Amino acid sequence: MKRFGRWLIPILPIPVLALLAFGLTRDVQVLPSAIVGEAAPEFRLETMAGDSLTLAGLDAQVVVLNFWASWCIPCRQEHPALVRATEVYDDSDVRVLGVLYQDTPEGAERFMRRFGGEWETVLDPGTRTAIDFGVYGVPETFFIDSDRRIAYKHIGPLNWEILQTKVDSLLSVGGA
Amino acid sequence: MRRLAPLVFLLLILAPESVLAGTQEEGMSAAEVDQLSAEVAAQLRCPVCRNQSVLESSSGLAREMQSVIRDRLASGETPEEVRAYFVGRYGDWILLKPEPKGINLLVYLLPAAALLFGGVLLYYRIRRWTGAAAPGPEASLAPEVPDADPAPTEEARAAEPTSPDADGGLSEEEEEWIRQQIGSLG
Amino acid sequence: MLSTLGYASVIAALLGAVITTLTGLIGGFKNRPVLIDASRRATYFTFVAMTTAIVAMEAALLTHDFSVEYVSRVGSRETPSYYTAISLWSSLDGSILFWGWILSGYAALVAFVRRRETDGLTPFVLGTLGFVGIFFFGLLAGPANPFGLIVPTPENGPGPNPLLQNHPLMGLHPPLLYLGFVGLSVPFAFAIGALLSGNLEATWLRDARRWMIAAWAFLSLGVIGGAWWSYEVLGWGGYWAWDPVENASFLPWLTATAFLHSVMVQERRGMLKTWNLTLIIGTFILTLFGTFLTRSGILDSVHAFTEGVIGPLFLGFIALLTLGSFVLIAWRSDRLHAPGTLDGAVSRESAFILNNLIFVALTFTVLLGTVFPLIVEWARNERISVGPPYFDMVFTPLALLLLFLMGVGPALPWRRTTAEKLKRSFWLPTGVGVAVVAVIFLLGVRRVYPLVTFGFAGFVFATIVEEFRKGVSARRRISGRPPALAFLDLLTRNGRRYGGYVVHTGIVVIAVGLAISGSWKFEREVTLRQGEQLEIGAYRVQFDEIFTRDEAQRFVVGGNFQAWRGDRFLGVQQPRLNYYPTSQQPIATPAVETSLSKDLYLTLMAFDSEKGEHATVRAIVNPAVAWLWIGGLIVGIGALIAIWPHGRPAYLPELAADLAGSAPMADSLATAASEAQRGEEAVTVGWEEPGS
Repeated sequence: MKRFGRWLIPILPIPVLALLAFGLTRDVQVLPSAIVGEAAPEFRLETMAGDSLTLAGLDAQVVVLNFWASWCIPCRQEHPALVRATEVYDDSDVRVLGVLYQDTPEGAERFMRRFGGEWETVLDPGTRTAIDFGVYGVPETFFIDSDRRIAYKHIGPLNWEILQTKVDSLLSVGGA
Repeated sequence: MRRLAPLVFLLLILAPESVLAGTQEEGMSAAEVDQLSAEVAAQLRCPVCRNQSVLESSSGLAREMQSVIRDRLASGETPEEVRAYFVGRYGDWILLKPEPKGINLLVYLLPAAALLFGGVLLYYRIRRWTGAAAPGPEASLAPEVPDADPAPTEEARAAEPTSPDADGGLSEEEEEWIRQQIGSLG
Repeated sequence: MLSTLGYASVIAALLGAVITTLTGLIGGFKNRPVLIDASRRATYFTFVAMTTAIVAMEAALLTHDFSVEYVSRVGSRETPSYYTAISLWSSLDGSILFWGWILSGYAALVAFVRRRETDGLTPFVLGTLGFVGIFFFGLLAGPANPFGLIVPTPENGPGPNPLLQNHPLMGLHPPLLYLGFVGLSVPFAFAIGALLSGNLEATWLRDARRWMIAAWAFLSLGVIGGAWWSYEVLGWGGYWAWDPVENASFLPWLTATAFLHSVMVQERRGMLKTWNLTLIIGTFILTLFGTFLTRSGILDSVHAFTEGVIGPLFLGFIALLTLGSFVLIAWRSDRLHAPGTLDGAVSRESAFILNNLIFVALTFTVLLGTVFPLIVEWARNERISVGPPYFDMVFTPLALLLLFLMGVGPALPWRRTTAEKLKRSFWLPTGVGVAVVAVIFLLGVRRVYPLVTFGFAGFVFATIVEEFRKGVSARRRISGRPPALAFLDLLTRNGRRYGGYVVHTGIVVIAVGLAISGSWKFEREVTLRQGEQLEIGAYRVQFDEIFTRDEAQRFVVGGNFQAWRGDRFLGVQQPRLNYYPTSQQPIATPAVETSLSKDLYLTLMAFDSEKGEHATVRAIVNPAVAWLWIGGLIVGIGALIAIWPHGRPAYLPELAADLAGSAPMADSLATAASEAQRGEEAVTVGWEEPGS
């Protein structure tokens, strides 16, 4: 311990310090998703109007699946981008579908009335679909390509630029 | 005892959990499903609250996850399959105890290696401290050791207990105290 | 005004620390009494300055002076005064201020206690403490300045973090933890002082040990208090989650405990000098590491406050101290060399050395588990988690080994032993241990860990009782006093040893509490309609109604649940959910009905928000949790016995005189104090413990 360890001991903390320095360079809040690149989980959910919807039954090339809730503040921020997407894109190209996360249909209706515009939202009783998609919280948005694989996942509020870039890249791949 | 200690440790580490905790599977009643789903939920990290398990968290998502666990177990899935389902959705991040594979093995092996390394180091060091020629530590258990012991240093001799009672449980502190008492009387 | 006073005080403290460091080190090396004296006075001055800063901050908080940016961030007019006062440590800058104040207080105490010592160590110790102070006061003067102003002055603030204003324990647990953490800087300063002065003989060690026990006691109480807070406030039903920040408080505790044992080997045999220095230094570095974890937010933690520039600064300081300390050790290594000799491999010395091995292995393991996600992310860019199931698995066997050694150590004599003596001192404790296991096995317990824990606990307890019995009978032979008085003599005359045994008793109690509560906890989660009952174990719980209450700073929803244990009515339990404007998620307050054998722990999980007709409640039967707190109390008492000065005069009057003589800021201090008092009166005191 004495002679040999004399020079060993000062060296020991160095890797730990380097590790901590590395720790400072990254953002803990960013979490990985195991599901990007995988086939999107199938679901059968009811819309607020009472119709039943399945992922396989959607015929659009790209599906933008947005998990949201009326109590979620950042969701208000991204709402206009989603409304705009339904207006800009043709239904056969892009289908914007909201999945209501831990919320009531009444809450969702109030939200739509208050912030204007509308896109289709399905209910997710028991949060099963959200768990199937590995959702951590809202808002989270999944971009599903024509093979019904999850191409991208966006955590946090979307904006129009991000949405358009991702959708267009998927459309160009699908069209080619 | 010193040799036994790492051994006991290894045994305890290696013993399958079922031996230690008595886990049961298959053919389950509702109570057993509850029990098992609690065990699975305790191993999964709540995605919303970060540092609690799914079992402990009161967040809505964690509670829905718990019911997913219960449903899957009740439909006949094994705990491993249920865990695999969640890993498929959320990644390895969701396991509170990392799978012992690849780099993760380090977190299981390094503590044991450190203990073993330290133990071996100490073994040789204590051997050296007790005198290079002295036999292994068990030998000092033999009754003749006090006489066979290598000559103590001057200082050690001075500190040697002098009271005949010393062997009957008086330690050196008590010895010192007695001397103080005698001093204060005189 | 308060902001100016506070900031000026911080700058004064920084100046004081710089002067202390310079005069202490130069005076020490050159042996100039004038400089040495100056370093002592500068230390007192620093303490007075920091006290003024704290008083200024408290005054600003209590008078709701929202022009101070920190107050505008953690204060609100609605927060009850008690929580306003303790929001001093509810955010980053304030907690560093608090930390700095405690540091200056410890330094002043060291300066005072050692004012007549002539061993040449004091200036180096004060210089080192001053150096540590420079870092913290420097943070306060720059990146973590709590006295910054905000323009325009807001009308009101958001109040402290809801978690931190939800329970009165927040006034107790952080100060204890800080007293422990910061207290560890004192033995560190003694170690560095001894290395710098080159006087590595026993005197520094005696003082370092004493201060270490004091800091250790606070840290122990802080850790236990943290567990208690977690149990009573967070509402998840447990008390220890192996959260990175909890681990951070546990790591220095482990190395400090290792030191308290190995120091005895050095005292008796003059060996392990380098090792003990390493433990002291490592302990302090680990406290900084813990602070770094909480302040930098590099790991997921419920407790972390994240802030940008502080993290790198902390890391730099940790690196500086670590490398500096170990270079010092290497520099002095010729004086540290001591030929190790042991008379027998089976002796108390060996037991302590083995104890150190396990403590260090445990420290390594907890540290590894804590930073392991970071290692994997670095190596693989993957995110993993290391949580309670891992820690429980690796901690339990090592902790059991320590428990076992706790019985072996005291029963082994120093130096060497014979097989005959071994038999004599071990047959009784071993017999007790085996008997305990047999009885519990016959009672139907088949789980390995609890059985082993109980067996070892019986074994340890028997050795402790045996030690006391021997001590008492030896005392009686000498003094002829009756047993009770002879027992008291043991505790007062040889407090270090017998206080140590009292601490061990507390640890045994905690170990048993952990084993029972960890193995036989069970729970149910049920949705009840009004009037419906739930049965869990011996308990019956009936849901009566939902109540709501509008409080100034929050909105409370609670459930009235009648509870019975057997036929005995336990009163109405009120688990609550508290809604704070600043928090999206409600903060739960559990209802805990404690008894010595088991607790009934109720958490309100959900409720019918329309009509209050049903409520979802999680009911947990937590056996033997009370014994953790009792054990913690015993540990505290034991530590107090161990450091209680034997017949030394009280310092206080002298300290006051000394302070008065060298307190240039005494006037402004008095002014600020009276201001704080007036502020306190101005605030309406409308706080009652909710639900009472």
